Amino acid sequence: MEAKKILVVDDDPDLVTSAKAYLGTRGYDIATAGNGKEAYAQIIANRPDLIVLDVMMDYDEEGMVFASVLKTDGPTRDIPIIMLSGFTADKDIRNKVVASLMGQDWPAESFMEKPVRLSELAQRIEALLGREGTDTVR
Amino acid sequence: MLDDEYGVRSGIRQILEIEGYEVEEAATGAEALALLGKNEYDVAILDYRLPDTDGLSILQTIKATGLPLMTCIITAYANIDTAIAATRQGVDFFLPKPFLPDDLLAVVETLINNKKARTEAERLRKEHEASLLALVEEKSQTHSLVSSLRDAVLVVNRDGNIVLANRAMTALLSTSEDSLLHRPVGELLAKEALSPLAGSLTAPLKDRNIGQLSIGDRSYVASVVIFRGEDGTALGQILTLSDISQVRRLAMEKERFIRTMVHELKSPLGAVRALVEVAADKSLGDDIDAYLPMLRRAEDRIDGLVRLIDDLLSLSRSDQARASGEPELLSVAEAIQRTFDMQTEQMAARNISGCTDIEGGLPPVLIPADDLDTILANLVANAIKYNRDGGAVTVRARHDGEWVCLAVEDTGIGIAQENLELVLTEFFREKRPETRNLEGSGLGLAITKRLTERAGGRLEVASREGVGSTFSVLLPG
Repeated sequence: MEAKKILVVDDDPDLVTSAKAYLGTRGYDIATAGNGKEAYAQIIANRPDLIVLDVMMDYDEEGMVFASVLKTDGPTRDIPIIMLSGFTADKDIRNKVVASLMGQDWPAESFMEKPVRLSELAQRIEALLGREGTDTVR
Repeated sequence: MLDDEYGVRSGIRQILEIEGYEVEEAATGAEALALLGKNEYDVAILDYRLPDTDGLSILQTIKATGLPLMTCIITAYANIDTAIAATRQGVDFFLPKPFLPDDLLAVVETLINNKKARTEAERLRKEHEASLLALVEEKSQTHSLVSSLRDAVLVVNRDGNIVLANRAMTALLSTSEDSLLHRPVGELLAKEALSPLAGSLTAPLKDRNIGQLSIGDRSYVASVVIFRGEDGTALGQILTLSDISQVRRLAMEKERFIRTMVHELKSPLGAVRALVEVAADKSLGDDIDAYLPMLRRAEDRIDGLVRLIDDLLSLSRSDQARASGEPELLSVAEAIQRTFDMQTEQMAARNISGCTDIEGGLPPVLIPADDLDTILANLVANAIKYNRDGGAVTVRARHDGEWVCLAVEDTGIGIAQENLELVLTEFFREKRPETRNLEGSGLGLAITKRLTERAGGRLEVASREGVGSTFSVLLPG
């Protein structure tokens, strides 16, 4: 069975590199991007099975807006998203963005507060993907 | 005791001295006036008919000079006319001759008692006048105190009429005190801006009520207090509006600062945790060398975190009015050289050349040495960081009117026009492809700006994207 494809979108190169190494060894196929624009190009080129998305990148709410776009777009609507945010006061941003996109639900399947543990991220991914993937590499 | 007859004088003296009074005698009006000018008396007994004058004239003189003594006219020629005349002059008693010793004693005793009563009354009147004066003074003090308060104050009496509006209140309502006084407060509250208060001021008296409202672009905390008389009855209400716009703005700025700071602290921690987790997980296999680049990155991120914390401390210190040291008169040229010496390594690593262009005869600048070093170090470090490899950093120093201008010029990536102001604010970092791999706390320029301003100077920035930036520090020369 083909490995599940995960796109990690974060503007912190160290986090992206670490996530790629950690998740890659668990049998996932990892693509990375440093902002929404790069991520969108990746999604078009190679549709991921799941997206790990940072909220605050080139501007404070980029991840949130990007997720909303993905969730309204037919071909990308069903891709599960795990949103990462460094803010403690995420709720404010969440409410603001959700309110600005009226009638739309919170645009991610899962939410994690930064700094994240890669082990927890892996568990979250596993839960969302139902883990049919390969467990061979290690 | 004034009488021209010796027999009368000594008779009266004997009668009075037996009862313990002190008596002095005068035989003529002139003698009497001389004594009155010299001593204090409680009672004057005056004969009506005298060789040089008459008792009434003496009485007149006594009254005219305001001497505080009681008077009694004695005369053998008593008739109704002299009695009326004496009374008109303000005599206190009129005793016809001949009289019995007891009559005289009764009169003197009465007069002395009356005098005591009169003195006491006078004292009370003076005291009362003094307290009235104090009251008036206190009233005007209170009034000027209230009118100089920064809070807007409005006092309403029990009938709901305005009895006082201070300057802040009239300014707030763009009106004059005269046009508010004695008007029903209900009229004022009908104004839209104050309508949130209408309930609390017109409803049955509650003891205290605090709410917030906005008038124009400013925010106020409103409080209504009932003031009561000594017996506890409500006399009226005092409405106070305190401007909290500044406080609120600061609170919002602080909130934003802390949110950003938390983000800036959490990001490197998250990266370090992830990098370490990869190693602990042996995600890249058993060869330790595979992890070295990641562990070095972890080290770098920790160093960055330490620098961030140091910068936060500098920022906090630069906010305090007290400088980091005593201001000194410092040579600009020496400070520039020191800065370049400190950063030789960083410049060499990227093949960046450093030049100085210092005008001759520059006066020294007055600033704490640490502050000048920090300002120059921050600006030169930025000029290196945002430069291109092989570029140049030029520090120019010259006169600019009363200022000494230190300009740090680079040949780097520049700053977008719309971000020129923003680069001086805390944590702001331009997010561009060219800056993605550059690290920094985003606090350096904020610190530089504050230190410059604390020394009485200012920081200016000019830039062209792709060409370079110039940061100019103007210090009083």
